[in-house]
Amino acid sequence: MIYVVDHQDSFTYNLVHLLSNFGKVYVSSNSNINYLELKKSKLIVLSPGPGEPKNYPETSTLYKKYKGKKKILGICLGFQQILYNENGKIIQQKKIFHGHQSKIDILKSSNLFRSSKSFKVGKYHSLKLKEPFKSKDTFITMRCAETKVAMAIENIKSGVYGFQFHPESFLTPNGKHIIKKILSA
Amino acid sequence: MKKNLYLEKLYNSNKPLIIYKTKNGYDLFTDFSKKIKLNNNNLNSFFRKIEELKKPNKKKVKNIYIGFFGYRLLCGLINVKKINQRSINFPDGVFYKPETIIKIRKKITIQSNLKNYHNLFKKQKFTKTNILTSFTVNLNFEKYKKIFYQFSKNIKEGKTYQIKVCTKYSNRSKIDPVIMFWKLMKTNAASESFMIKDKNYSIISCSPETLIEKKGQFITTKPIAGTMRKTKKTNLRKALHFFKNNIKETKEHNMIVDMERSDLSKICKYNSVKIKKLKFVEEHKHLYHYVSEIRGKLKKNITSKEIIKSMMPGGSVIGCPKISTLNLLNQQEKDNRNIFTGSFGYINSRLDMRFNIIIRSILNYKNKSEISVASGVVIDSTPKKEFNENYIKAKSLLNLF
Repeated sequence: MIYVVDHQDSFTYNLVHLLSNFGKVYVSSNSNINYLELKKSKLIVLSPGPGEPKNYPETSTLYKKYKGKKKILGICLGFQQILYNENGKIIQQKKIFHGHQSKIDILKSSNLFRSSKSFKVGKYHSLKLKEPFKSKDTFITMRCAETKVAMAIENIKSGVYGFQFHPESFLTPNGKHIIKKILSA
Repeated sequence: MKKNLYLEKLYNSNKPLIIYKTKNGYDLFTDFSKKIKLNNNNLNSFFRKIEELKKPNKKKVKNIYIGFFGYRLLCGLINVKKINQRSINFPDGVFYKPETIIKIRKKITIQSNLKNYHNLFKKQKFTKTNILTSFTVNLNFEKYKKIFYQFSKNIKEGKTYQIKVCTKYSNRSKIDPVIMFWKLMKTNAASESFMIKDKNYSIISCSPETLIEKKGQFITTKPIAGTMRKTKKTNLRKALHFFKNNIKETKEHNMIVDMERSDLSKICKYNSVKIKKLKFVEEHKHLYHYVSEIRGKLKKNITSKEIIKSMMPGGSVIGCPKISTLNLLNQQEKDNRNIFTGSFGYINSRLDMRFNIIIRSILNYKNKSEISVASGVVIDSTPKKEFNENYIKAKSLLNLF
């Protein structure tokens, strides 16, 4: 089963439908976690949402509790939530891309995706990761081809993954393939 | 009695009536056996009454509820915090059960559950349209600019990605809604136009936007995001070229498409939500709209309440993400939106439904007419442009006075 932690976003159910290609999906709001269902899940997905990571302390608690114990995937705000808990700083960007389709480059640091490939994705983010970002085990694995902003992270050891872009958007043609890679990692 | 004469008499009577545009004409609903004023307390019992519509009845006119949900009621339905706003105490929603339906096509056909439906007239005191004061706007440019920059800041902070600020024009006036509605239909018979004439209020609208079309297990929504003014030099092809090459309009539209996909996905079967038509242009009398059509197959046992809760208020007139954007809006807007960005439509005995988004409308209540309009703050817009766009949208209705 897959557990989706919803941060009251208007894209959450696109993600739910995408994930349901790979198994049963349980959804709850971030402030109302069903731990019985969570324990049965093999993947926890942190949804996109408005605001910034520090607005969601419950999600940070949940992340710290389950990191290394269950596979975790963060999308957009969820991606920032992971980095925030790994001592990353989340800051505002000068140029904002909401509803924009951009090209993404896969870096050599990626274990899941073949590097030197690029593909198109949909983006909806006001904030970004402040760099340089240093971590022993969490690596930036994709960047926006145009702005070079961090677009994906992988922590193979703990099974933690994240995307700044939206695999569930209709602007990301191979979203299903991307999710499949995470599930089989 | 000749049928046209009957209609003329009906229009001049004091009988409440509703007219709704259809594909090839208009449907007129009257002889209301029930009128339900909605508020947050009786909303659930209304939804129970809706589920009872499908009980079989052998009457000519089948069970149907037609009416509107106001903005505030819809906010309450999805648990958006209530805020104190100036209010004219207009009902949060009203639904009617008609016993007579008149189909106005090339031929006029009348169906009624009443034997003597045509004898019920009392002639009303003739209310001519009478303008008592000129229109004023509730937000001047300076105030609008302030709100605009506040929301631009909220976008940079990630609290919202797109937000629609409402401005309201109002005057003191008495109107004859029937005459005004047909006058409007001559120049702008938009696909979701409607009129309500009741004893103490009336609504006239040339809404172009379909929020819900449910037939059997299938549900369709047709969000509009993108408006271009029509001139002598423009045409459909040029409009499409403009929208496709305008990054701001494209991004705004993409966002709405993804939001509506998600709203449908809450109530639809996995993998059934599909974009049927992506980004096409609809031509209207004064402007062009950028439209998409999205469709899904409903999950089994989904109730009418669940459908309404997941689709309303329509995302394209609010912004994105819905809940957080509604909270930001309600903190800034000092006046109750009343009907504006609510939904008008009906649910019938098969529990099929059709609902629009109430925009481009005039509400007349207690001798006061109000016209509300909204346009979007996104990161690439400017206050001057959006303030003017609001005026352009209101203009065709202001011209009716």
